[in-house]
Amino acid sequence: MIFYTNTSIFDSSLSLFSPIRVRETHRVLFGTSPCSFQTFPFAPGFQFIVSKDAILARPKVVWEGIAGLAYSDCTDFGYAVERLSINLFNSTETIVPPDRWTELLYCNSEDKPYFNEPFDASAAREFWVEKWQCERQIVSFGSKEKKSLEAVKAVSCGGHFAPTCGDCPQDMGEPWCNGDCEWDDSTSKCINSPSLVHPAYTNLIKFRPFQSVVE
Amino acid sequence: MRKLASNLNLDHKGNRLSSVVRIFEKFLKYFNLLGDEDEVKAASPLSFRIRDTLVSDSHVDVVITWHCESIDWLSDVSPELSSAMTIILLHKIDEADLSKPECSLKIPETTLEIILVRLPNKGRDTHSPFAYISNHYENLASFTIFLQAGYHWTVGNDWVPSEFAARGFKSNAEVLNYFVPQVVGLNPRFLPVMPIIDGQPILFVDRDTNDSKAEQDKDDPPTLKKFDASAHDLVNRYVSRQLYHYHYYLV
Repeated sequence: MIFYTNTSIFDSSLSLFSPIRVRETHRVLFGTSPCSFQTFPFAPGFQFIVSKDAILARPKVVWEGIAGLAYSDCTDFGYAVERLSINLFNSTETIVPPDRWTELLYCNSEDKPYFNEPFDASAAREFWVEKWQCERQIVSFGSKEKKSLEAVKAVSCGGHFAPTCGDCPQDMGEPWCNGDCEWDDSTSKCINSPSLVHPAYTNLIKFRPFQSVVE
Repeated sequence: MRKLASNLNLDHKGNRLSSVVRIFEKFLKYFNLLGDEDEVKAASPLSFRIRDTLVSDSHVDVVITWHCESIDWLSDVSPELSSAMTIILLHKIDEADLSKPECSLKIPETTLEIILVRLPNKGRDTHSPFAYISNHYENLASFTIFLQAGYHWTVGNDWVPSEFAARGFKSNAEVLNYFVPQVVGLNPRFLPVMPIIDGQPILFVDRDTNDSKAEQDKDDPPTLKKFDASAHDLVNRYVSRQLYHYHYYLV
């Protein structure tokens, strides 16, 4: 599937046009790149049952931080975090410490041209490509030929992006190795993170149904 | 904190209640409902604690975000569950709402333990779980159920094609009567409160695009439903218009 705008084509693998707030919220909370983040199932209405163990699996400051965001004047956050209940409560997906959360871009009233009417899709595209540092692709409508115009910053290190996990630390060591990467103690290098996701969550993503539960 | 012994059986309009209701008076103070004679110290409206000690294993806290909806359904919750769970009403309501005739403030008669906590009407229902967890991280029940006071349409099965024989719930009382015994017995880590097909809760995803829905959905299991792209995203709504326009008229 290819999405057309007046100046460019986004391959659906980038999925820039699906729920942007959810991707942006996931980027801030989990430190991973929104460019490749796929939407996945959630429980609408934010009604769920959660065990004590699942809550205690994350430090209290995380819940306090999210409570603060949900109570803020940025009401869009509530709609976005509703989509992330499974990530938060039913996965071992690593979350960024709250003191390193960056601003949710959709909450910045000074800097959201994508919210203005009439909406300018081209401006929005430029906005997110720049903010998220996704791969930029330009297509001529006549030939639909794609050209890569920028080097790709492929991985999220947690609080910043880099071409590879090995480039994440920048002489800062393990603290700068998060997000898509993890620190290998045996080699003292930052490497691609293996799946940190709970098996049930992986199954969810792969097959869509939820974990076996009731009855 | 000053005891509210004389108020234990009263709702916030002074009506008598037979339910076991504990009211957090600092929130009454917050809304100036206690008068000037009390000695309650001002407290953050977001700081509350319903208990200071650990609860027994398998206890269930049911945290309900309540604004002005009717909660009469609480009287239909099975009395047999009374000892297994505590109802916590996070009453998100502003002082101006209290005098509105359309605002239901009645707590029904029931044998359930009900704790009422008033909070400013801010943050919607999605704020409630995180606020509750932040305030009770050290003394959580084994399981916590988060619900909205009003019946959420997705909980029912009338929107699911009948051939899937989805187990749905006609009221929030049905939800609790079904799920509370289940969680005590099955010890799940996380469960969405949704209708169930063959043991699997139905879940939703947001579409990336509304084009070719049949093609998109051909391999989906019956437990997966989809919200149209843009239906729940302000940004998408505008983007979709643009995409549709360019895709069908310019390209």
